[in-house]
Amino acid sequence: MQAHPAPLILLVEDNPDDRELARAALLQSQLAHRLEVLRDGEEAAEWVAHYDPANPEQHPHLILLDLNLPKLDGVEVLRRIRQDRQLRYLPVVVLTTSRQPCDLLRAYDAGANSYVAKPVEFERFVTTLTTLCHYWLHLNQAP
Amino acid sequence: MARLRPFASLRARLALLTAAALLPALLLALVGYFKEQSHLIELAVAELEQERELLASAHHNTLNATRQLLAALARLPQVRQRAAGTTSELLTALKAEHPIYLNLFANAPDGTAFASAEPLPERVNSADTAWFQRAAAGTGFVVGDFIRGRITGEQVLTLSYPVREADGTLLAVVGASLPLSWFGELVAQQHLPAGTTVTLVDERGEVIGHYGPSSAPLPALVAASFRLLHTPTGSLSLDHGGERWEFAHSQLLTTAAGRQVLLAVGRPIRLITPPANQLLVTTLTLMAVMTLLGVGGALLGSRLFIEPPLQRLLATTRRLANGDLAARSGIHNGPAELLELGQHFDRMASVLEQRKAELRALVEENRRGREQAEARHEMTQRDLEAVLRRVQDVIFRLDIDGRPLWSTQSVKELSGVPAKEGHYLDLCRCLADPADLARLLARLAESGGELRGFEVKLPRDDGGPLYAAINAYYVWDEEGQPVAVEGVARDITEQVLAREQLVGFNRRLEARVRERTAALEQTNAELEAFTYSVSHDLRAPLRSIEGFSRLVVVRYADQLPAEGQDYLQRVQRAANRMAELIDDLLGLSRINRYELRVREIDLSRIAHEIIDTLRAQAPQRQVTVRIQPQLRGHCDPRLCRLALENLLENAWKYTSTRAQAEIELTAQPDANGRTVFQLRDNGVGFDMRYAGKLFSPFQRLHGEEEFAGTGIGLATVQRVIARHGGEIWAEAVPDQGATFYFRLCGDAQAERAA
Repeated sequence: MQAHPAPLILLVEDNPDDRELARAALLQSQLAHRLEVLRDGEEAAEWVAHYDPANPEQHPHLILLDLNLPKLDGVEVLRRIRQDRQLRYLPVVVLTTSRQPCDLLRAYDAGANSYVAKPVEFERFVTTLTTLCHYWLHLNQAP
Repeated sequence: MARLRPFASLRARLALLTAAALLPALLLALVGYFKEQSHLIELAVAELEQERELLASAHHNTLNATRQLLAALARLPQVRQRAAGTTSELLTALKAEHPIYLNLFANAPDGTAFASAEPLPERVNSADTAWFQRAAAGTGFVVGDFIRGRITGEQVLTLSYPVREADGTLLAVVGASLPLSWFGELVAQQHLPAGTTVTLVDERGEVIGHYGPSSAPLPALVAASFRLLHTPTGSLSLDHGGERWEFAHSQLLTTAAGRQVLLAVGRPIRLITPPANQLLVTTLTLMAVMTLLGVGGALLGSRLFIEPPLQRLLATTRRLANGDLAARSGIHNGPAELLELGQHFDRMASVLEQRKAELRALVEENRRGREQAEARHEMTQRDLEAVLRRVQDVIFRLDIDGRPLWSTQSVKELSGVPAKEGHYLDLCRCLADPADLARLLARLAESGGELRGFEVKLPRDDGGPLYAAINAYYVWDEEGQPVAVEGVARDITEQVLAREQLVGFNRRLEARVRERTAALEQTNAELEAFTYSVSHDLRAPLRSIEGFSRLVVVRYADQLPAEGQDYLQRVQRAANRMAELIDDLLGLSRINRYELRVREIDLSRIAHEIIDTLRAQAPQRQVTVRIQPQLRGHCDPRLCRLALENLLENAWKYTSTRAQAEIELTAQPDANGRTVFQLRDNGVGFDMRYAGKLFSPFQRLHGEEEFAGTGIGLATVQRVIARHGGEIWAEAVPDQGATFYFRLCGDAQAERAA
């Protein structure tokens, strides 16, 4: 019996510390996953542009998207994802530091599935990511 | 003036009144007289009846005594044996003893007298007499009849008694003669008042005896005697010879012959009523004197006290009526009414005189005024044009189509407009532009014929502008049709310039306000950006600090000494606390930017929800919470919840050292009727010296080790309350508890809510 590859999580995050913390938190959550990191908006846009639906290994199950990104900001990246025919229904969770109501509205307007503020406390970050991934990867039915 | 009728004068009437006042007294006197008279008559009748009774009873006694005497005689043997000698002696002796009897005698059964007290002139036989026959036939005492005595020739009443054997055989008849003179003596003995008559009369009207004055009404008594029989005892009034008599009568006896004898005692009224008459005469005399005195007094009094002022008043009135307005009564003494009348009259005369003077003055003034007016009118015509020439405003008249009819001219000098030829120069200048004129007429028609402040701008010859304001109105004809336009045009250049200047000022001021607003908005935007960067940029490094410290602790626990682990944990705590601080600070700044949505809120319900949450977080705690039901306030629901959360969390937190904590939320109106909410707890309280710091951000009155917190909570509450225009303050005693008071709206809002 051929084992399914672990679900792919795409993390768009410019801050190396946050990338590292996210990686550590996902590890600590002990969820089976593969993590691919994109370091800024442009990189993310390129990824969207070059997405190949024919390659199932490249197909992501969840995108964790930061809003404050250099070059191309998160909302723009989100917009592009939603414009892509293949990625239109991909779950995108905005994972950001900002708690500004305007950012929240912009994110949902652009088509975010969820909006989560990064907690400062690491243990809570672990819990948050665990809950989040568990929901989107296992509970939620994607089309 | 009309001639006074008799009794029309005041004096005569006064006298009449006085006399009339005595009339009731006169009536009273007459009534008294008649009553007295009838009373006297009643008394007299009673007296007469008494006298009659006395006479009757005296007469009766005499008859009785006679019966006894005769009965005694009938028992004597000499009488029974008809012994003439001894019987006569006996009878003589008896008569001497009883002189009232005219004779005492004894008759044989054949009627002849065999013995007598008086010597008998011849053999007298009395067998034919009623008294003998009745006595011979009967057994008892017989009263005979009044007859003229055969012996004495006098009216005599014979009384007889039969003398019989035991078997009833008549032996003799004894008798006694009572002369009528005896009755006269009886009457005389009674000492009746003078004028009293006593009459004995029989039923046939025959007078048997009469005693008293000879004027006694004998015929009348005879006539009345039959009537008397029907009332055996009583009283009677009779008229005789123009005089009235009162009688009392009764039946005296019935004779053997069946003749009934009546006794009547009478007295004329003339003798009964004198006391009453006397009284009447006295009273009438007195009254006559009083009337004379009263009438005389009234006449004299009125002549002395009323007539003089009245005559003066009358004379003055006549003078006044004849047109002499200077006439005055000048009454200073007299009756109060007359005095007042005189004074009023004088005042009236004065007023009349004054009015007349005023009227004369007025007439004079009117005449003079008319003369002056005429003079003025002349002047007006001449001066009006001169005056109008000097008026600053232009007064004009147009026909209904706007063609000038007439106008004054003036504006030119004042506005520096050089004069030009032509009568309508200035008006033409004011409304030189046909567009202005058309607009004026149109506006005037719109406004119903009364237009104010119509402004026109015209060029001045020196290049500057000239402004004029025109007030215009229609002139209406009798049918209500506008026939012309009149108006006034005024140079308002200065006002307009001033106004324009003001408008300029305003514009500049507005521009400045706009600038400032923009600057403020800029500042706000910067503040926003700052807040944003604080929220974002400060939190990111904190996350790294916390996260990696944690990772070190987790991953390298075996390589790290305990102290190092502790240090890293402190780093984590510090980072977490700072994150909280940043969150709270952002929350605080957000309150000010937050847009209020005020509505009525049930604070009790919100408080209960918050308490429920707190209980769920610390189920082990013993806290008595009392929340007054139906606490309502006008506020924004989210901010209100935020404030209540902070306050209740505080109360919950600072009572955590109490075994039995108490939290109480109530409300009551203050002196101005505004609702003041009150949150009381029995927690650790605080020192009132630091109450001023209570609501400042980051100011804490308790150490972090004692109670966790950022020191933002009460600052947040205070800001929420302030946003609602309210007020918050606190009272506390260390270690005994704290009470927070807050009001949700200020005065203005309270009024609006009311």
